[in-house]
Amino acid sequence: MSEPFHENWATQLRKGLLELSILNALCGRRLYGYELVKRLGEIDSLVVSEGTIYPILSRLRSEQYLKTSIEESSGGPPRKYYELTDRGRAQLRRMNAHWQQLQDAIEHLRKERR
Amino acid sequence: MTFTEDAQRRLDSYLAAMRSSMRGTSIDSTDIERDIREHIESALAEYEVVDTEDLDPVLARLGAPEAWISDCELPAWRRIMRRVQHGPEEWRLPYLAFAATLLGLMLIPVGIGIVFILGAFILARAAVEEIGAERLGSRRWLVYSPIALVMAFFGLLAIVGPVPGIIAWMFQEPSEVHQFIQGDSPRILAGLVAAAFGAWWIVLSIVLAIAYRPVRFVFSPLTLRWRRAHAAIIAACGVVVSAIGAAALFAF
Repeated sequence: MSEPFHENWATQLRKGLLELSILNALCGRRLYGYELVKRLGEIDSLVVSEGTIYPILSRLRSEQYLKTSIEESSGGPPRKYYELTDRGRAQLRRMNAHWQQLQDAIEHLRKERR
Repeated sequence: MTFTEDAQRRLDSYLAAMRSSMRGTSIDSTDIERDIREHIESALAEYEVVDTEDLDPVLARLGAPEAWISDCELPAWRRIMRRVQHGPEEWRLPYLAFAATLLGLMLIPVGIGIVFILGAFILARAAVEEIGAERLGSRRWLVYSPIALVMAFFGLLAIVGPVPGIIAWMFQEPSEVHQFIQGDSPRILAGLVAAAFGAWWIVLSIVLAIAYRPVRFVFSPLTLRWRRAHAAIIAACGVVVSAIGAAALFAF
């Protein structure tokens, strides 16, 4: 019984954190889709299916948090590079602050228990 | 980079499934198709010829073609269909149970409706076991209806029991009955019916008191609060109705 509960919880958590992770991965650098997927894939259990990243990128772009530019590459197909817009940077600051608040609150609860 | 015929077919079918899942939404599938192609070509950049053996793991890591669109971007009816087709058992079973109930209710005039309702009952019970009664949440609206319908049917059957048969026998064989009770006035007939029902409910209460665990399990979660004490209420009703029946037969 506890395994489906944990799975469900982990999925919800992952969904919420993917957007934050993508914005942070793009902070101060330009990455193309595959490169970003690989970078996020290095974080254990964050990316279950690589296809989930692209719809999020598309949504973040339509929210104008990201902008894209297509560039030819020497050893492969033309690449779509993603980078943060000013709006995206501002949003990332808010999200990081919120995340920090949550982390501190949870840490506080854990310490209280001890 | 070139794809073998099989690999190209595999990729085309993946892209077609993705495009089909985007139909009816505001999302531009061309953009997503571009992302998929770029991803595959980047992942397999070192291959000159790509076979299905090379392509399949990349597609598997990308996930199902229908997963490129998230639930919140789909129209409501597509969300329901997706949950039924691909959703976890936790949602699929309740939706199927509810659909079978609706179908069963519509087909009752034709006669096979009851089969669908019984099927819906089994699906709903499977859903309750899979999810757990306490975690049903809004899914309870999907699973309660078939369980309630079947429980109401068997409940009615249990309340009526063999009484109509006994009464019919009394009317068919009046001489047998008249050996014990004189007269066939409406009071006597009403007394017979009341006594028969009362006696049956006492028997029923004993059966339910003994088998309260199976009853609670079969119609869970609607009967989770069923206790032996509830059988005593049925027994009390039986005693009261029997007493009324006996009074009507013998007291006047």
